[in-house]
Amino acid sequence: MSIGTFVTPANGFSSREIAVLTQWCADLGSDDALKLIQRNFDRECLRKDIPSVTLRDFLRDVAAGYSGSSDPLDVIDQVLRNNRPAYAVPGSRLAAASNLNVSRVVRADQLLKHHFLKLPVPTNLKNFVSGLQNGTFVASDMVGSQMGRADLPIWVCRADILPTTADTCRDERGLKHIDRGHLIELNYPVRLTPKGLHAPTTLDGCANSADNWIFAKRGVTGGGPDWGHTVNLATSKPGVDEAVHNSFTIDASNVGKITLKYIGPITCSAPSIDFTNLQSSI
Amino acid sequence: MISERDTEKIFHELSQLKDSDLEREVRARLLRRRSTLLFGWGRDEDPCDVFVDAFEGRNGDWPLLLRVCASLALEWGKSVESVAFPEGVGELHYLCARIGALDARPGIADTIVRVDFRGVLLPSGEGVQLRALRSLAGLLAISRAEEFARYIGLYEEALTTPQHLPISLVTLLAFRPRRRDMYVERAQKYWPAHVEALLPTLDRDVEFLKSLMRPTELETSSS
Repeated sequence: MSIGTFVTPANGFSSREIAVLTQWCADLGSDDALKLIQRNFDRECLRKDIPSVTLRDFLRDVAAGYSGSSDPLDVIDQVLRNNRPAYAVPGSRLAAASNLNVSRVVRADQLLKHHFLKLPVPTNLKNFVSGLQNGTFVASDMVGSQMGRADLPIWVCRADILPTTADTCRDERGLKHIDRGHLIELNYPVRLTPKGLHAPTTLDGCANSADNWIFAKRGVTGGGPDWGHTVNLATSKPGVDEAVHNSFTIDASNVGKITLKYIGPITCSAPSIDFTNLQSSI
Repeated sequence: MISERDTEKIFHELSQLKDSDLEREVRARLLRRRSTLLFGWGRDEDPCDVFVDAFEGRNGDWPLLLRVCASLALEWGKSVESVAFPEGVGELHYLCARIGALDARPGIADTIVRVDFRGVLLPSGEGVQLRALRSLAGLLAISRAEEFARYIGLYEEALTTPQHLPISLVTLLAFRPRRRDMYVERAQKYWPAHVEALLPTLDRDVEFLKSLMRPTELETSSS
């Protein structure tokens, strides 16, 4: 258990905190999916993707909130919920060229909901999707909206690796929660992000809820900060490189740098993850 | 807790729930509370997504979800506590619009006029009342034409708020096209620069709302 090499008196942990965190880590090993989270924390402790002081503070918060009888995932949610500013996009900054373009993939309904604020919320998205396909609705319509939300990381990949179909895109990017709808790519240069790209961390992987399983921490001991990688849902192996960044406001000065691309419809449910394969291949 | 997400199984289990159980699940999900039935959230997943998807998976044949959502909208429209959970309120209004919960209209309207919701933002930066205006406009598009008369005052009043002006003008022009000049003039009086920026896409957005209009039949089925 690698977390044990980090959770030590030398790193500022008390004997009580060490005992609680040892129990918490053991409780995370009760099924395959939980073991992935356990391994993610182990790897986080062995790498340099996150400042050690941030990781230490997080684990101390977990120790303060965990009792053996509680759900080991609940405490992660509680700590993140109660300390959003401290743990929002906590990874170290990546040395990414500012002219590199990244892409974020969202569902058409979320695009309309969060970015097309002049439009009503329709029961049927058909006409909106048609408008995206034929260029009636474009990136400039997003002025006044916010790319992502301040309390959650925004996950992006390099823009030059977009697959051709929506199903493949969903699978390669590990977007396990998407079973329906149409996918849209938002493509923009890194320089639009206020603090650049950051290494994805286990805390980012848990940011929307701790049982969001499909995050697999990069495994090279001692490395970082580095890009992470998605989990390819079709193969349960590493997908494409990914990073995170903070939200930013889309305004008249930067919207010209953003492009929207209709990728296509999702035609089938996301494949099930083979956790055994994942654990051995990533 | 279902550790591996099995969407079809979840949809099926949700559809089997009785009134109070479904209400409990919807409420918990929108308020980001864990439940015994539903999985956690995916990366960019919003609280209401699972219900929108499940509703579409049933081809819109889920009257109980319509009732539950409308009932929650009425409750949260009146409840003073609801201002403490804006994300839940915004998600609920969006959900009501996406599934066509027409009976939610009065509850959504209550949120639009509440003073304590003024300036309250969703995590995405959008105002709760803007989300309500957008959601209500979508519901009115599938309502009987005369329903708009009940809510026209909300949209006329919203012209005075710059953030609400675009959706209000679009809605007013879609439902009252003969008064176009009057409404545009009125909006220009309040916020001339905003209207100027809006004009290039105004007709397109009005046409979009008009294209959604599919009145009467849903009104009967959900009431």
